[in-house]
Amino acid sequence: MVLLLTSDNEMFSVAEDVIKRSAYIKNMLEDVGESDLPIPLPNVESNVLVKILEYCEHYRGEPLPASDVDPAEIGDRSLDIADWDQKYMAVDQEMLFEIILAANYLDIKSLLDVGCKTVAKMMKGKSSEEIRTLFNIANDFTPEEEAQIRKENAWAECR
Amino acid sequence: MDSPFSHLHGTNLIPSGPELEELTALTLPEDSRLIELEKEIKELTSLLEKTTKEKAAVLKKIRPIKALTSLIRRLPTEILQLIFLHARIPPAPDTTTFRACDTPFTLLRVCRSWREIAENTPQLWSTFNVSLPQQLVDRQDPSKIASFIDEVRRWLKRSGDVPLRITVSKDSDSTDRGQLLSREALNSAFRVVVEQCHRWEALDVELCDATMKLLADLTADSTPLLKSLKIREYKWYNANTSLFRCTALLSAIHLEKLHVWSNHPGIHKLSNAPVKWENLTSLSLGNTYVQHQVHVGMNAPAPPPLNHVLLPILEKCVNLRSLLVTLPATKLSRPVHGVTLQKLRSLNLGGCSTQIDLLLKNIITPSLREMHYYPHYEISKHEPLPFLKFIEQQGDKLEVVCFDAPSFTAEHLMSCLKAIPSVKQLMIGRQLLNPFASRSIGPYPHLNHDDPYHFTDAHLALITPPGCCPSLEILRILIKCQLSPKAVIAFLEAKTDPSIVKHGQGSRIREVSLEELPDTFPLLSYRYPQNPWGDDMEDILSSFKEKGVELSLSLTDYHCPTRYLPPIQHLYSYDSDFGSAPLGAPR
Repeated sequence: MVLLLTSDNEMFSVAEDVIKRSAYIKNMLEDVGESDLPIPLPNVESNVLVKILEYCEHYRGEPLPASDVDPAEIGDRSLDIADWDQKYMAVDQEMLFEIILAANYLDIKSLLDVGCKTVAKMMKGKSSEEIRTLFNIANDFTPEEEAQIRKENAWAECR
Repeated sequence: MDSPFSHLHGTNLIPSGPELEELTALTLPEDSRLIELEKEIKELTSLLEKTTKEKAAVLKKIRPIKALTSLIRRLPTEILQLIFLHARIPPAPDTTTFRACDTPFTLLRVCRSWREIAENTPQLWSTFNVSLPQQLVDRQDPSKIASFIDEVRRWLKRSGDVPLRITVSKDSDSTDRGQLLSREALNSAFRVVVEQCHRWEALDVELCDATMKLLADLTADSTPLLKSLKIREYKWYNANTSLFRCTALLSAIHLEKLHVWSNHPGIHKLSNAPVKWENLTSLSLGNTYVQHQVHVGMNAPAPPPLNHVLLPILEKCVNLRSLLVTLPATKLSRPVHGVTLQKLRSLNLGGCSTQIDLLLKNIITPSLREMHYYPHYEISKHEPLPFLKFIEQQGDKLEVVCFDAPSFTAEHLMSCLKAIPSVKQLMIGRQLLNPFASRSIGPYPHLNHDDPYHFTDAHLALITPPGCCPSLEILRILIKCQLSPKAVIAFLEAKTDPSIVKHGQGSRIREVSLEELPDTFPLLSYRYPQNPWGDDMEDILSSFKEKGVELSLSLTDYHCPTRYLPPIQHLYSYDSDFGSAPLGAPR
């Protein structure tokens, strides 16, 4: 078993084959060897770690996906997300981004991939304004910049 | 409400004068209560409106603060880049992707930081469909066309120095003034793209007036990165066909995938083209219309015999992993010698069935894992035995088998299923994704209509565990299915039983598509009172879906005078869920 200590000081005892889906933990265990000391996760809160462990537990025993994907090919692939992953990702926005950040920190590529796909799917078919509203993003373009953008997009105007 | 008149409720009796007075007295207290309630509703409605307005005001007030705490701001740039790449609209053939309302353009207009990230993510701009936006085609405004060309330049600039994957969409050869303007605009846009030909990694181009000269002017060392080339040529036969003027592209030093889709009947000329055949891993050679001379023009020469055309090309392709060909109907001739395609994993054959049979007799494919067999039955008589013999000889390692063989008898189909013990994906029936499939209307005089070409309970029982094909994961039957619910459910139950995987007895089924079930099959929307399965059928099917099985069951919904439904779709590339890289689409 591996001990994990979250940023809000909660201790988790996790089976090694479950948490080894995290390349970060896997490398740490290989570097440090067996130890009774908990691994501190200062960037992960307990409620997020619970979700992360749910994912690792579900895929326990399944082969790890290929490590690196050519970035040029990412957008060419389908945005299809497996049914279980979709249900898993049916969380509020805050938790979704927390999962993505934690997956990135713990280096769980497949989870990061699913998280990014989920956000990309949320954006799909939406206008810039709708994306702003969706993610609470402020329009911080100056009037001059907006005019420049309009000028660039003149080819697309129907007038 | 209890009243002395309860016994009269629901009747049409007319109350007398005294009764009316008594009735009015009875409702009096409730009438005043109704007035009170209406007043309360008015007050509450007013309060709701006030609260809603206040909520909107509060939301407006806190939105900028909420925006500050938005977690998406905390995502590091590299994660946002990943999200942007996922959000990119994948390139699709024959569709215009150059639209301001699509990603990546929308990303540029969200906020300053997103714009900066999008502009500095070259991969976001590495795939480029050179197609005219519809509004330019419609309006023909020169200033807008100039603005579009500027956008093309910006796109390419944003792509930095990453390899490019270019698609050039269809142009019209009409002499109409509007079309001429469009062609000039496309030509100008493509000229900008050609300036970056040293970065082309994949090119999918239709040869037309707007593109031909620019491509013909390229030199042999112009495209050092080109790995995938897809050339489409729809024009009728022309002795000076433009395909063979693309010598610079054909001779690209790193070319690995070559896909030629032409009406030119003389593909034998390609054997003399400066292609580095030994480098090819994927080759597609197809004629759009192989069946009738008239489709390529009356002056077109008759195609030469197979052994003079294809086998010499294949002989040079020592590294070929996937091959797709459509073979025209030509006179038979005895091949000089067979060819061994040592590394070939995927074979997709269409066109004249006698030519296909001849090819199958003369190639040896020790590594073959994927077989697609789709003769065009309208152009030659189909003999089932050569294909069956090929399957029986080389089928034991096949993982993907897709075919349509309406001259098969039920027994032939049985023999075929028995000969493919390793199959993971089996598809029987019309080809869904055949780049060269012709739109046939039948009937086909060359087909033998005596024995029904049906998939029956006996066939399904044969592949139901512990029967043949234990590794089967995807089953798509697109021919008429004479199947009973009992057989289908027995198959699904056996293929979703966890013990078969646990005990190494086979694979779980992932997808079952049965497209032409009998009218009596009790599907959800086609229930019959006499159906013994009743509503339970819905629950039974749902339970398999919950187990992760993709189910697509449908009844025959047309009247088909023959039992054979011809190929109906024109799509670009076939793909399988296993193994070999798809042919065709440049990557």
